[in-house]
Amino acid sequence: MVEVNPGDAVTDAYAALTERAWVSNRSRADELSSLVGQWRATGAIPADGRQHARDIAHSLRGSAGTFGHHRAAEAAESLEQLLVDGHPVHLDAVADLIATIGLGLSEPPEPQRFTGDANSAERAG
Amino acid sequence: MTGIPARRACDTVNDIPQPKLVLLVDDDDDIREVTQTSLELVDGFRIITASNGREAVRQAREHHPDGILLDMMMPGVDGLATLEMLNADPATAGIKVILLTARVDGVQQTPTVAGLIPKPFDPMSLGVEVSRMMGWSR
Repeated sequence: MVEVNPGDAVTDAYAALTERAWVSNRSRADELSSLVGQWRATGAIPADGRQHARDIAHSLRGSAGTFGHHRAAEAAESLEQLLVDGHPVHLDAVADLIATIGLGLSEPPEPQRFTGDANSAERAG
Repeated sequence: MTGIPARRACDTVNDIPQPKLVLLVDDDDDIREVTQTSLELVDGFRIITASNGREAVRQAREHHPDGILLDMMMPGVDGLATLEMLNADPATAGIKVILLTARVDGVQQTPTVAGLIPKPFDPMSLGVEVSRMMGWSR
C-alpha cells in the first residue's frame, strides 16, 4: 500500500498551478504592453482602455502575489493605482512599471511551503 | 421534522465532526484552484466553487455551505453586489462570509461578514485564518 502525504500532493499541485499562473500573468503583461503601444501610437488613452488596463493590473497583482512573484505584484499594484480615473497618466511611467512586472515574472517565485501536518485534514471541523 | 437546518444536521454524524463545507468564489481560475487544493488537502474542508456572483448565489441556495470565501472584485456581479444578494435571501442570509479583497474601502461590515482577508494571500496558511475568523474549532 502506498501512503500519500498530503504535503507532497499539495506541493505538486501548487507547482503545477504556479506554472500555469505564470503563463497567465505573462500574457497579462504582454497585453498591457500592447495597450501602451496603442496609446503611444494614437496619442490618446480611451477611458475603456484605461479601465481595462486597470482590471488587468488588478488581476496580475492578485495572481502574481498569490504565486510568489511579489516584485511583479507590487509593480502591478502601483500600476493599478496609477490608472485610477482622473489621475494624469505618463506613458513612460506606465511602461516602466510594465517592464518591472516583466522582470519580476522572470525571477523564480518565492516558494510557498507546506507547513501543516499530515493529520490536519482529519481534524478540520 | 424539527426545522433544524440541514447543514447543522450534517455538522456531526454519530458525534463525529464532519468537515465544514465552504463555498469559494473567485473569478481567477488559478487562484481558485490553488485555494481549493490547499483548503481541501491541507485543511480538510469540503469545497464547492463559483467563478462569479450569480453562480455563487445559486450554489449558496442549493448547498447552504457553512461559510463563503468571497472575492470582492469580479466582473459583472461583484463581491459587494453578491453579498447584498446573499443577505437579502432568507435562505442564505445567515451564512458567514469572509471577504477576499485588495481594497477595504466601500466594504460594509454586516453581521454575516466574519472578516476580511487581504489579497494576495498565502494559500497554504489560508485555512488557519478561515477557521479562526469563522470561529470553527480545529
